[in-house]
Amino acid sequence: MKNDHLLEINNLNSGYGAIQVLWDINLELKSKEIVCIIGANGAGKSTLLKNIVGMVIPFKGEIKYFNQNITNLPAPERIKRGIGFAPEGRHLFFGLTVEDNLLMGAFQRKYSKKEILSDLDFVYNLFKPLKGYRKKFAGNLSGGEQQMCAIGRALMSKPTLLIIDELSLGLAPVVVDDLIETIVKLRDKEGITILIVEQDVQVALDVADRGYVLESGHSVMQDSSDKLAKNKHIKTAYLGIA
Amino acid sequence: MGLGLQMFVNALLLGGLYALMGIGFSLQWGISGIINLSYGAMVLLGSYLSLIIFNMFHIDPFISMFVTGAILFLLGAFIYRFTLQPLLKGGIVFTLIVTFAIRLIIENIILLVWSADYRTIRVSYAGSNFQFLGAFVPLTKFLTFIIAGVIIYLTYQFMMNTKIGKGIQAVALDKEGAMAVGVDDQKMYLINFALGTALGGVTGTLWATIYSFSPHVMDVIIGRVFIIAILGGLGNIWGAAAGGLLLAFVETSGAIFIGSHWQEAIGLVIMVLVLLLRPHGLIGKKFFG
Repeated sequence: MKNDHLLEINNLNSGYGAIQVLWDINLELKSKEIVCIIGANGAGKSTLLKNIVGMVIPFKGEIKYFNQNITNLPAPERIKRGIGFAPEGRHLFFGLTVEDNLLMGAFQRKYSKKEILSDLDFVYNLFKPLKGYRKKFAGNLSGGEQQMCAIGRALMSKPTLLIIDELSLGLAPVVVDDLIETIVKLRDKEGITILIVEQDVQVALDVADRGYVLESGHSVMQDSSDKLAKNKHIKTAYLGIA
Repeated sequence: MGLGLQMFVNALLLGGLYALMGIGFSLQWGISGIINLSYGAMVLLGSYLSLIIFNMFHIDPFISMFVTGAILFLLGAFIYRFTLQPLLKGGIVFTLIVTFAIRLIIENIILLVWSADYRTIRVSYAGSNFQFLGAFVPLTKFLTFIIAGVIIYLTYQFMMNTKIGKGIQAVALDKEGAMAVGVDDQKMYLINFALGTALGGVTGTLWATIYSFSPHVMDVIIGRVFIIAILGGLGNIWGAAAGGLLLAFVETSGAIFIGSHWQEAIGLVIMVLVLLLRPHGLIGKKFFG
């Protein structure tokens, strides 16, 4: 079964110890798509992402990346193969400078000094404010700048697939607009496939081509963003429009 | 002047050893999250291993320290992988019990093999000494101080400038963040724990060139490293080094001005004061964010 899917998840069941969080999840990502996963708190969105990056190993089911089974592959190996991850809550290294945080993002890469400098330049061009704060401790950044730094750190691993958990959480609307613009640019200019988890459904449907809706661990719906935005259930349950 | 300088030199020479000893324990506690109650036993194992090597092959402890360091590194890695790592989910109490059990095992092996008698390693130049600005400096103490300083510096360079060192820093700063950039967290904890054990073992070897040792010394050591690690701030190399020097100065001057039977009490009083006034340690920066 050859296909053009970058990522394919079949019948994924997962959770923590005795607690099952996800039931029979199916998901596909085509190359250069922006896809969002939406759902309420506790729906299992972050758990799904953790399964994709290898921080949680599923009970059952299969995860395929470039048509290769990566279900049980350790997390560092997946990052080496091009899955970049900006975790929920950013998890920056507060005791390090912005630049050291970005450099840490290249932990799994073998690189020359020249390469790394041009990659740093790329991130600084993408997120202009970071350049001025290169030598500043990451803990002293504002929320928006921290999110830039977290995405920048994930980009330093040279991902084919960039996964962002909670893009807009706690950020001002202006900042979110900028981030959305940047994400679309990353796809259009760099050809990076992007998967985001987002609680703000309006934001999610703005940025993504397609979306999956998770409810209490089940995937209840998937469609293009336009269609999801017009869907009655989505309108009442998530967008607050009658 | 004479007494003051001599006291300063004595404290400094002792402080180097305390610093090295404290760093191993502090790294294990602060970064791997394991309060290693067997640390004293591991230090002493370093002493006894170099004693065997000295007696059997007549190899100088200052050379055999590389061997004891390597053996203790492997022992630390083994202990972490097979006893501590599987129990981490159980929380800190489990690791306390396990490390206490390991202490008892090592203690009894030492008692069985070497008995409870005091042992010494007497190198041929043990009595040599020189004068420095009128202060009396024993050669072996001077050597242990220099070597301790070099090892501390190398440990720091390892943490700052190698890939594994950076990975260890990353897990210490933010475990989830480290995993997000592809750091294998358990591997880093293991290497860090083994490194701490190796530093302990080397301290034991250096210790053996100056002082006589018996199994009961492990209690003295564990008491000291607790104070040193807390003084400096957990997981902080320079902090532990400063803590070691400070403790040595406090003990040495306390022994002279207050009385040597108060030596240990003074160290503990300082520790309590630091816990009350600067709970993150004297040098403890916001290393843990």
